[in-house]
Amino acid sequence: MLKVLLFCLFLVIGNAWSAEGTAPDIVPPVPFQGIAVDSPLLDLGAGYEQGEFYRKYMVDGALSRAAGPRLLLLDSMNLMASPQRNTEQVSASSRSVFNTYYRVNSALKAGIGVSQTMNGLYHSGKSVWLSETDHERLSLKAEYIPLARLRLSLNSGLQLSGNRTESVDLRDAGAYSDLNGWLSSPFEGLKDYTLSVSDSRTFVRNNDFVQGLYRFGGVTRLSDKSDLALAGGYSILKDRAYFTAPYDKSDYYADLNLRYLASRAFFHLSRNTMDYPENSLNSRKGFTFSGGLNPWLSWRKLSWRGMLSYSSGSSDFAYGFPLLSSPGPADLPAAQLQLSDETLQEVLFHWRADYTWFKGYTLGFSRFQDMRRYDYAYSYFDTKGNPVKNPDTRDLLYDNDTLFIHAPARDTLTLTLSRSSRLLNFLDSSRSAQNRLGTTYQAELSHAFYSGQYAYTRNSLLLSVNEDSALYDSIVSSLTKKHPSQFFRRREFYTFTDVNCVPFFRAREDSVIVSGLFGIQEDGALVYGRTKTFVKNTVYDERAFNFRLIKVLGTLLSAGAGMDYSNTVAYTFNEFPLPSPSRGVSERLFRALFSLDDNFIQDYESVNRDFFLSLGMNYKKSSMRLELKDMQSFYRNSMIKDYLMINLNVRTTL
Amino acid sequence: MRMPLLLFALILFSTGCSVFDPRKAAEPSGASTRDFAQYQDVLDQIRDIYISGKSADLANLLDDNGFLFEGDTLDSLALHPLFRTWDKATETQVTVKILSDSLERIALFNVSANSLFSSADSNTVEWTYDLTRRDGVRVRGISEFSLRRNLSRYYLVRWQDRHDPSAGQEITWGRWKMEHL
Repeated sequence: MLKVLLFCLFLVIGNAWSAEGTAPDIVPPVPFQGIAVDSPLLDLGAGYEQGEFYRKYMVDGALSRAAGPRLLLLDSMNLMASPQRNTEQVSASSRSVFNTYYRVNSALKAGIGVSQTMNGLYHSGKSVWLSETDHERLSLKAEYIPLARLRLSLNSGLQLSGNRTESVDLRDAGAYSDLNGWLSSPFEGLKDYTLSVSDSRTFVRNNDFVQGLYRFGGVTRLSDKSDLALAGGYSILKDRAYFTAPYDKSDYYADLNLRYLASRAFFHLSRNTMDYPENSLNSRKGFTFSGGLNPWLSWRKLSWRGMLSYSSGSSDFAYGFPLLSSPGPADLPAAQLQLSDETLQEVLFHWRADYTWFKGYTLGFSRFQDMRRYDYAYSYFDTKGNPVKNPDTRDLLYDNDTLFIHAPARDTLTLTLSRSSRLLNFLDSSRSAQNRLGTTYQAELSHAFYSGQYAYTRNSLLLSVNEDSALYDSIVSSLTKKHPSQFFRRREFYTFTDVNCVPFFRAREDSVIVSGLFGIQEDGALVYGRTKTFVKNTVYDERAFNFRLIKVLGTLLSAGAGMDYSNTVAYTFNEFPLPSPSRGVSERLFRALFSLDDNFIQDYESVNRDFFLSLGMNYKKSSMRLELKDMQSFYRNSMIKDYLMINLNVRTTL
Repeated sequence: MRMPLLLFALILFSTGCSVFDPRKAAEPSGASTRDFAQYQDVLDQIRDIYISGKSADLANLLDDNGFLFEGDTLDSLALHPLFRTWDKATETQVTVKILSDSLERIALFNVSANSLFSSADSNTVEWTYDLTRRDGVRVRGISEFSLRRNLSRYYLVRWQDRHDPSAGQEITWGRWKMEHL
């Protein structure tokens, strides 16, 4: 109750704050899809792709041209075949459309057409389709745009559909219709409101399909300083395809967004259902409500922006079945599913204040709080009378305070200091041994140096320490023989440089980029006593290096090459050190710098190395793009990944 | 007048009435439980769930914000074209559904694990699995698990499943799940 009162209080205060105006968020309507384009076009493309587990071949083409003063031809074709490597399975799809349109007058177009679509999985060894679906259509089409605010299109006709497997070959006939409509409000007070409808239906046995999207929304200007945006929608999807378990999916939503200058209040309500008519045990529904405020306040050199929101959500599994306290054997599957029925309540509270200080230095502070409760309210008694419940009911509390100082020059220096904490609190006794509170302190100093003529470089130094404690330390330590509190310390240096003064790479679009990361992370136990002691047991040495070269010659040519390299070496504490092995200079230096004695032995080394090359060419209306990527990964001195990915695409428009 | 109200509300939210303090947890039962301080704990728990059928334990392993299951494109194409990927809620539901039939629990769990990536806070592990259900059906394929540490606990962030090129006609884990969507 109290939180509702506080929420209302914020609603009232939020509306009263003033600031400069911003546009409200509007949920976009479904875009209108016409049936024909007027501009003449011949577009041909081909592609080849090789991944780690497949190859893919693609060809496509489209033709649009006038065959007389009022006659328009529009044809297109796409073919795709993708053999899986090391097996005899090939996935394939094709789509061909041949249409002719007649322009009756400036508002009305009518046309006829034939089309064919197919996709399936072929077994080349047995020469059979493992699964295949195809649709052939004879279409009558019309597009009517009498006014700028009213657009309608209709596509309907006869449909033949086929479904094949190794043992089945089904062919059925029926009809289909696709309707698209778009209407914007003619009324002055509601002039930004639109209603959009997209409705597709197929009436063919084994292939029945319904997809509908219906949306309404817009903005009402209340005054020069305020407006109200309203939106709502409904969508439905019913699929009875042969290879798919039949399902019905529906979504409803409503949005309200009230703006007064830069302050906003928002509400969102949505409900979704997923029903499986043949197996209602799988059905599921969800409900979400959220509402909140974005107040904004500005006074002289101080600005303040806040956000408060409350969300409530639930997901119910097998919701068509009653919740039973003592289910019998027949009701047990539903009861087990309903055990996962979850509700989530979340409150987010975030504010940030910025103060422009002496000579433009900005001092800022932000606070972020995220509070969540996950509840599993349902439980039941099994046949022996034992209670069965979901033990995951928990609270999750996260908060963060950040202080930052920005220097105002082009060469920007930023200092960021932050503290975060995260509390994970399971309520059930079978989980509560995992309850933990972690706190992280972080300091980052970053510097950016801009020189349009020579280089842009950004460097940052990061220090992060994290103290993480079990809330029931004695039990955890006796069970797992581990220290209840852990400590993580990370030091990181990151650098990024884009060099602009290298010969042949001096144009604005060209790049020579070098970036690198060096990080060291130490993990271990934290022992509380008179003073806190960090007992280090693992050290990670992380290094990464990236290099990019990009050359652009107008619209004619773009070429890029580069490499990514990352390397992690983990050292772990061993009570009985092995005799000191011979070590390289780099490891000896690392050990000396970070106080690793012979008790720390190398556990593993993980290396990833990627080389890539891309080439793009455009000549008149033709284009070609080639991408090559060679990837290798090593772990504990053995290669675990090594392959070449190729992507080639050629296209011409006449 | 408004500023004192604002300050009052801020104080209440930040410190005052502790509206959102966590509920008091029950004392730990003392039963053996993994603390997931190592990423292997998460994978071991997945194995135990599929053997024991205790599907309610799964939600505790999956990342609250971004868990994603990705099935093999070919499985999706053959069976469930619209559902190749899904989130935590669906993954939980599917697992409960699978394991509610005791014949679908795993009788023989053979896995060859291969670490693909390892850093201070995240790991990627590949399982080449060959599972035999109690009803005799074999499930074979390759799953790639991406695990991330949040403070001292590991969570499963992504589970990518695909066909094992060396397998025969056995179904994959993803296909098995898709059959229960």
